[in-house]
Amino acid sequence: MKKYILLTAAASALLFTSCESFLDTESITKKNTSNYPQTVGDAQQVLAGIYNNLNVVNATPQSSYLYAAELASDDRFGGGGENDKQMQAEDLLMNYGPDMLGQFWKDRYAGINRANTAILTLGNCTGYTDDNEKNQMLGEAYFLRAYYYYELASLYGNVPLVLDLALEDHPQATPAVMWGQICTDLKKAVDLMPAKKFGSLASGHVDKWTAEAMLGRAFLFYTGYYSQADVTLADGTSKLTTTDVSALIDDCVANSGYSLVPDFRNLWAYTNKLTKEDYSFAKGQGLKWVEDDKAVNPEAMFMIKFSEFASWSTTIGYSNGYALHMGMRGGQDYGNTFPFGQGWGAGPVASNLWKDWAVAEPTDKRRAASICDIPVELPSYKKGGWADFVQETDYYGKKWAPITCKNGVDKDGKTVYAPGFDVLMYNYTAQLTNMQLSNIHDLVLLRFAEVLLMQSELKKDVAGINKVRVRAGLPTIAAYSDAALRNERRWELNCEGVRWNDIRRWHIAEAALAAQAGQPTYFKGMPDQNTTSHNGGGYAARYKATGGFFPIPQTQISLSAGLYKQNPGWGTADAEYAGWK
Amino acid sequence: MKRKLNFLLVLLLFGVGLVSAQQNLSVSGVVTDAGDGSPLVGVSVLVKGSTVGTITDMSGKYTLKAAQGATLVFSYIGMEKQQEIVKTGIVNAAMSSNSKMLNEVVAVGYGTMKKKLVTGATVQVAGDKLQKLSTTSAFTALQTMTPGVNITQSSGQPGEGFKVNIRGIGTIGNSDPLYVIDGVSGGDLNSLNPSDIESIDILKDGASSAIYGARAANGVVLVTTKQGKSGKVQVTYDGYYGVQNVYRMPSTLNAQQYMNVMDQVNFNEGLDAYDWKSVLGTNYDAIKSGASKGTNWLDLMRNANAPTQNHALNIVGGNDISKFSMGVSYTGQEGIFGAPVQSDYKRTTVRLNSEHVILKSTAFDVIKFGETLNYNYTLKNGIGIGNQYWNDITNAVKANPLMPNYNSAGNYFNYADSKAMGFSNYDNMQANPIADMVYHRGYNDSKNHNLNMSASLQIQPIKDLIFKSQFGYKMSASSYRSFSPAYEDLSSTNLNTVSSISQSGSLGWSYTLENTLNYKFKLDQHHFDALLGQSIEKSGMGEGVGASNVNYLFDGYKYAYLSNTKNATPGSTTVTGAPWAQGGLASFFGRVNYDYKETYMASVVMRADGSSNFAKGKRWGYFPSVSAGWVISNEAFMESTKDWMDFLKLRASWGQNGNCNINPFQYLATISFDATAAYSFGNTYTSQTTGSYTDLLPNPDVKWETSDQIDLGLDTRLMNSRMTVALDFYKKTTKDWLVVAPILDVMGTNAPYVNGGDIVNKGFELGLGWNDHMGKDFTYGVNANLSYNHNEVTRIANSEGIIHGPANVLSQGTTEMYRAQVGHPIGFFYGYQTAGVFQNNAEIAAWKAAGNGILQSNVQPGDLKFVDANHDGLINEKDKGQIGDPNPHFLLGLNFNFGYKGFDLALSVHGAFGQQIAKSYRNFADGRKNNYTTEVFQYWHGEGTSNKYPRLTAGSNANFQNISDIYIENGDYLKAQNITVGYDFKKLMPKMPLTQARLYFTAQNLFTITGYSGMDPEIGSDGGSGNGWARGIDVGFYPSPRTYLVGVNLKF
Repeated sequence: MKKYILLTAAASALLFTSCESFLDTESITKKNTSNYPQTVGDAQQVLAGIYNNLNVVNATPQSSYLYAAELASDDRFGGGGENDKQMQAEDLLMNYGPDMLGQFWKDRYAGINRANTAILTLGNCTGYTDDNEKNQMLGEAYFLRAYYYYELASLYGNVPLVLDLALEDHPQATPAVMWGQICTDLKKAVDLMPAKKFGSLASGHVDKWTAEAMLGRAFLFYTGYYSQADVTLADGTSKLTTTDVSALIDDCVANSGYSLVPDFRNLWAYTNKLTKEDYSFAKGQGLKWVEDDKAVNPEAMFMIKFSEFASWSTTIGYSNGYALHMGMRGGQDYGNTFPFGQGWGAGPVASNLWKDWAVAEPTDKRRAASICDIPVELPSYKKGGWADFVQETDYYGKKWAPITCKNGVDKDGKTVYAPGFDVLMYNYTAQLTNMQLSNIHDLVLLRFAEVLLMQSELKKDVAGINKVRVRAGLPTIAAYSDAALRNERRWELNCEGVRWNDIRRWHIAEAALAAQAGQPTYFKGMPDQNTTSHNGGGYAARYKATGGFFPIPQTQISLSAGLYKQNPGWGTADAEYAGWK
Repeated sequence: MKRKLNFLLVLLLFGVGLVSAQQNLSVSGVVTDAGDGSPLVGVSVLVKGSTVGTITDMSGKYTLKAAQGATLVFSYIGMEKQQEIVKTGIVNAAMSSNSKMLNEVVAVGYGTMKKKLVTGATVQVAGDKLQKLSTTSAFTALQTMTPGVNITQSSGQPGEGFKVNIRGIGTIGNSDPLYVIDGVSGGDLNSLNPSDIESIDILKDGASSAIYGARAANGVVLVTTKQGKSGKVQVTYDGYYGVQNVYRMPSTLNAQQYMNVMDQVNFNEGLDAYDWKSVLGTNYDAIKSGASKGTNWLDLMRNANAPTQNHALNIVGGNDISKFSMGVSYTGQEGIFGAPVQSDYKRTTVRLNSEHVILKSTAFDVIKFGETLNYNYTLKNGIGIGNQYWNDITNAVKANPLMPNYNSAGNYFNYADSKAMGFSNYDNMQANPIADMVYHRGYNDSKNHNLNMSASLQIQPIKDLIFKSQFGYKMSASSYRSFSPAYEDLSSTNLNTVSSISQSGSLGWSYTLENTLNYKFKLDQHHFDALLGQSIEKSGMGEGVGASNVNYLFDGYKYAYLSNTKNATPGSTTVTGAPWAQGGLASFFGRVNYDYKETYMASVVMRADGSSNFAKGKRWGYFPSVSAGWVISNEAFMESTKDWMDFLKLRASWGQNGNCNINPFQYLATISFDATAAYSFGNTYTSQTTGSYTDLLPNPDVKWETSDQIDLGLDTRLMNSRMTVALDFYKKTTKDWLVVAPILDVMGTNAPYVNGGDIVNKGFELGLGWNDHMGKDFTYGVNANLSYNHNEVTRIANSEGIIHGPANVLSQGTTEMYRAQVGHPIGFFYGYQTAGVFQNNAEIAAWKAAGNGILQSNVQPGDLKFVDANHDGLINEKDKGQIGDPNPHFLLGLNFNFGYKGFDLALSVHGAFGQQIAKSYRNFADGRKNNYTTEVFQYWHGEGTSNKYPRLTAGSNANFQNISDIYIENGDYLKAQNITVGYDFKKLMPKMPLTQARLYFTAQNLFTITGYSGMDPEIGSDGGSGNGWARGIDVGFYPSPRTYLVGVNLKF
């Protein structure tokens, strides 16, 4: 019997295994911060992850700065259907729902986290061919962090400044601190990145010149909107003055290698080779889209890149969501709207833009190149969208529109259209019929033309303006004036996301927005007026109340336990949008 | 030795081997049932201390040889073992059923225990009771028998799962109990055929489940599959066949009603009526005259008389050396919806359990070897039953009745037909929902293989000291294939010119090795049962691969394999392949059960678990419990109650359990490289640079969550054990929930699991039974159970105290409608309260004058009065609150059974009370032209017509687009789950060579008593919103069918 006991005891002892090492596991599919990033290859992935945030935000464009800036500006109305209350709310500077722009807040800070990771770790990676390579990559990370903060600070005003990866409280920064940091990061990007001319980097990467241009934009907004003479940099003492910025812009104009595309119309996708000869406006003009056959646009300094990897479930942001949202509403036959493709009808162009322009610069070819006069160009167009179109107008923005092309005939001999010319030009067969993922050419965020206009604005001379005017086929002007500069920016850059901050920094927003009230519109296809007085007291009142800043997401304020304060003008009955009528 | 092995093999295969030896007296007799005097067939008769034995024949007789003075042991399944001493050549025995005896044994985790000595709260359900209900899943059958266990179908589609919560939802994470099948943890009860199950024991309180430590916080379900028994080889066949139909269809509007309602909406919004003639084309006259009522889409999708069937063959037998039990079964169930691609579920199971004595001493078995093997294969295909975007039931309910299903050529009516008819001018977004279902969700197969096996070695070197070592092995393999063809456009937005095929497969295994040492001894009247054990478990050794591609080479689902597609296409071709997440658990545990004279009991349990899910230093958790019991009825002072009270026991227990069920590596800042993080530099449009990002804010301190439970209970048997009562009160506090509490978005990455919340469940359970007979032939029984649970979240570790639910659940564009929040039940419905409908302008004026806010921009009579809860003149987020609780407060189970001379009749009723359901069968703002159900006629249409539902407008109106209590209904229900009547032909023809030949008819879900307006009030679904803690959301819930079936039980 004793033998059994001993046997049992021995067996148990053997089977009681050592436990701690038994419990050690390793993540096979993910790395972690203790072993990543280490090489230049890792660094490239970290950098791609920051750029990817452009696509991420683009997946829900209706919550983004760019979209809100377009709809809130005097270029466009809200549009969309009755259910698209967020579009109308953004136009009216009102709130809809508990967290109207919450997704953008979350997404952009994820981008900032990625940029912070890069800034803190890229310097330690090994395998760079030289310092230039490392500095170029670091510079891009600084640029993107600055750009993301530029959008956050422009949209929400006082936002938290996070420059590290620490889990600690990050209170809202004052404008001086926030814009000081944005300018510091851009300056750092300018200093780090080597002065290589346009064309030396793969399209999509920003360079030293883009950073100079972006610094101009940020400087002008901060000094203008907050009425400051200069910017105090993040070290708290050094200043960035108009002269400093002007010198950088001059450097960009002189040395970057970027240039104006000779014909303004060739900037826009409707002049692509598959569409232009079927489009009466472009036909027979000898036009050639600057990006035809995958060519690189020498005027585009910063853009969102898209690709054929767009998919519904995960990566819808790899196709252009702005084009989809701003496409023609109502699912009508492509023939009715050709060459413009389908979408949700966000941002109908405001009649005041068309009219002001016609009065101020009647011979400007850019007007018809930028805006479609629907009754003239598209006689078959059906009004009303899906019978619920709000703030519909007779004008339609061409620049960011989805562009279709013909694709043979069907068995009954009727013309078949591709949802976007992109699907044929890039042999994008997966989306031959899907208008929702078919727009994949670049969305340009910063053009060289803007640099020329900033040069004039900073130096108060006409050199830059006149280059832009000449390209537009207009006579040069002899003397600089703020009015001329402001008009030129409006005509050249309308519906490209910059007008909103322009009218804010020039302190003309109230008046410019007030001009939108009462403009002719259509409601569910019936003639109407853009009456906004019952909505929060109208555009001017809302601008006065908010200064053009949208609400900080309410869930973030709740979560912050008193750390964040809501912006003025929000959280009141006047601020809540309930519906157009 | 080899001969002995062969011999064992023979025993194993043939079950019974009888060894004769020289004896000196021929003994015979008749064995009868003490209850009714009928002969018992197949009773094992054994000469004690020898291998001599036999079994009784068809008339209950036996003959064997035995020495005078020897003891005969009579044993029979379900009967009390009996011993008789051989005095003469005739030894008769009358055996009594052991069901009334207090010596029932229940499983308690790593062992068994006499039920009367149990000090925790457990409930046992015998397998034959489950089987009698003829359900595909054992869960359905369990519903009426387990007080305190809330079992709710997560969908009525065949093969779908159940939400099982023991004593309320205790966590926001995975709140499923731990399943232990034949000693191997982590199986799936659905994969077993109910006929495979010997018994199910549910450990509900902290003390009972403490022996399972870090995984037992949500209770433990111990499943024992049928084990071998010594005695005659018994073969049983159980089979049924039935037809299923929809119990209740929603009443959608027909074409005429639909047109009227749509015109009414326009009228109320100041718009013109539609020109139906231009919309309906050639169908106009038939619809206008009423000759055609339009299309009832859901009706077209109905699969009438959907068959369900089950066949199970079981063989059990053995002797005192080897015992075995084996079974094979096949189950097939078609779904009641989805025609012509109705859902379907097929399950095949195979089971082989055996036990062999390898070395035997005179008094006990020294070495025993046992094995269990359960294999099953399921094949499942289904239609969309997910959220509002992926639900074929909703699609059919809301589809327009004006659109025909087929065009004149007999093909699905599509966009071209719609344009030709003029219908597209009215609605160019409406796609034929049946065609859409067939093309997108009609072709899929999901196959699963599961193997669950164990081998155990038991060594008993001295009497009652048992060392047991068990190795458990689980393997699972699955494959999935789906296909979506290219088709002609169904609407302006529903089109697909690119066919796609996806395939995936995975295979993996896990193992458990556990060793226990058990010693039972007594000192005088003090009984001790001590257990010491250790186990290790490794899971997740496996990998999965999957791919999808577009553009097939051969048309048709039959050919839909990846090899039959064209070359890869960027953005459309996906490829994945990843290992499963590996995990390990190492544990030590011990238990001491003590009793004094079987009157005073106590039990102490301690378990230590180390889980690989946590960082070093945070891995080990310790889970103690104590419990005590007092059998008062054994006391002398209870003598006076003896004539009516047979047994009375008081129990009390306290225990702590854990839950370590989270994703691993929460303690690391992990870097992800997934396809969502890339960027396409350059101008190729077809190449990407892989991007990386930190996808988690690490939490190195994360540890298991702890549930702390006290239980007070009482068990009693009254009036000669005819009446049984079990009563329990409990309070379960789950502390340090593992929860992903939202963090500030500026952190820029995902929040990790933190130990961030507390939840309290408290309630009581009452089980009542009455079983008796009248006269010799009539037996009857009533078993009822009632339980109550109150659930409240008491802490969430962020500044808001809220875990938010998602938006867009009931309809596109709606905000969060459920959440977890301190002070409320988990998953409560969140929205505006309404105070009726403004009947006239005076009411509006009075409402405003009283300082109440108004949500509608241009309020009119017929609009809802949204309650201004904080009375600040503004209706906003601050006015929202709890508008419903999806958790049942009371659960009721009732079982009636009657027997009379071979006839049997049984009725099972299941009810749940106190819970609410959130329902929407149509879209709001983006569903202007969706169909309605006839509930729309209750909407306000003039003063006094309704004080609940607002005037009829498009769903974009604030009345509808805001989540309010108009979408919440009471979900109380009482379901007649099963009514069975059967007859055993053995009574009629006692000579037949079967011991049982029962034929029965069953009606399942014959009727449901409920005020709920939807198809089925038993809704475990979260509306497809992806949170296990949410439930009671009906966005087109696939209902459970009403089934009529006929079956037989044959026993040879």
